[in-house]
Amino acid sequence: MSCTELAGPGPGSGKELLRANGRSAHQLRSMQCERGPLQRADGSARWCQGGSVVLAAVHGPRGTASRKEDPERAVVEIVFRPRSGLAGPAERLAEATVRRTVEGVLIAALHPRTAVTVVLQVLSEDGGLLACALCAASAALVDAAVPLARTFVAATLAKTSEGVLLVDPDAAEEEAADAVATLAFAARGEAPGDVAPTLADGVLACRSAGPLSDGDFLAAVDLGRAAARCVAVFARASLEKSLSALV
Amino acid sequence: MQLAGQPQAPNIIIRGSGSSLAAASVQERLESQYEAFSEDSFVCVGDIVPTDMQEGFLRGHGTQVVDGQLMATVCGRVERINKLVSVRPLRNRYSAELGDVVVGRVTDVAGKRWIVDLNARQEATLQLSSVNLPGGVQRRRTAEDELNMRSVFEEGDLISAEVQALHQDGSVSLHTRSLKYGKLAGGQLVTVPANLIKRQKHHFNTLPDMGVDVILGCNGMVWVAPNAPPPALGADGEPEQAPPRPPATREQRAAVCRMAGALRALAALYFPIFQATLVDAYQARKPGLVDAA
Repeated sequence: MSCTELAGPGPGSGKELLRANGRSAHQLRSMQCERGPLQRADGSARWCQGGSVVLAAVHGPRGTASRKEDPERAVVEIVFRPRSGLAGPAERLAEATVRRTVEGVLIAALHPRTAVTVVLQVLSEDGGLLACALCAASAALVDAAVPLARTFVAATLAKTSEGVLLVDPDAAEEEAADAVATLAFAARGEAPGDVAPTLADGVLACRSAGPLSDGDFLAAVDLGRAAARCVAVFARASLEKSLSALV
Repeated sequence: MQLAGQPQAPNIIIRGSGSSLAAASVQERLESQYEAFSEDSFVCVGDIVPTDMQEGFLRGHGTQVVDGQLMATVCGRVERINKLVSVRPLRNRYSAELGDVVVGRVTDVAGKRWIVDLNARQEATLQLSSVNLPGGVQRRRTAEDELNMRSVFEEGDLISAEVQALHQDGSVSLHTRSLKYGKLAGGQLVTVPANLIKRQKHHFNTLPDMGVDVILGCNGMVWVAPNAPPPALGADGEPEQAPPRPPATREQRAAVCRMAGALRALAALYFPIFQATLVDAYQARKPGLVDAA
């Protein structure tokens, strides 16, 4: 990462706020998705968002111990492993968020008395980790052919001390920000005649930390939806590419 | 390509054609006979499945009805059989059904049963009471039988078996209670996606023209071996357990490698694997590509 300082408004720069490595305020980092890297898991995916890389593996629906099973629906278990060290309260919080999100899209009543296990391993961290993990989990669930009502995508937003909303912050920007929010949206599939995937109404998951006024929060949701739409377009393109490579 | 189970390999290198070359020639031949699948029959999660203005369709696996429209719940190909509309995922773990013929590898020997790996969601068990003891004797299994389990099947052996029972938690029990099942040696194992092998009448295919036997396991593991001699009849008129076979000749190995190459080409093209398509793929190769140096 080159050491360019934040360029203030100067001659010819317009209203674009340049961040380190030259991104504008609403610009996402480059994304990469590899589907099916693990052979033993039912489904797996590696999602790279800039410097953050998360590997997700899905096992299931498969049998589980009788004390954990639910007689009417499938149980979702998430394991979130940090890059180094043992899992602590932060990882438990991430697990709870991912679990609620997956339960929101999984058709659990189709597989009673089974468990769907999603294991998320952080390979490298550079900001926006929860969103990266959610996208990886979604890609892995699709790869495992687990029946889902919808797929989902996620985006991270940060509010700087100057009050500017940044999309997809890296680790330094997250650290310096006043508030950070991660938002997940369900993606509506394509009907014949659609040009690009769209997002369904409403927010699937929202995890924010730090002070955000009402106006700021709603602006963050709108901006997050726009960013998530770009992520959804990428996810769809990567899925079609991997399917056509298979056949 | 070395064949499994050969004690000493003579100095032969058999170079099969590269899989891309094989795939191209196989594809030409197969597409002339079977209709190619169209690109627009793929759907992803959440896509509306076009029902082609059919009245009264039946909703199958992989779909759900949302707001009166049929939506896919998995990514895969749309299948329309009469009025049934379903979405079949392209790549799915093998899930055992009762009566499936499978090829698996023994991974563990544990109290009165073998644990067999079928490339499925869970490992399968083969109970000691579900195998034929050597000598074909029907008797109660004693403690001595339990101690001698490794003389029947050892860790690392390939076996063909049939699914005997499915338990409530999804675990699978196998049996080898027929002389056609049992340990496999002297051939080559090819693993293909399990979706390509549908349940058929004959999973044990003997192809005398090509000189190979092919066992199509429903779990995607296919065993190719040179033709076995017909089983000798014992004193009571029942077929006996076959004695161990001599090492394969060069022509037999070439035939097995060619058949394995045909299987890999079919898997690369994602064509369903039946005896007919296998024979077509075998015969589609360009002459002179298999060299024996």
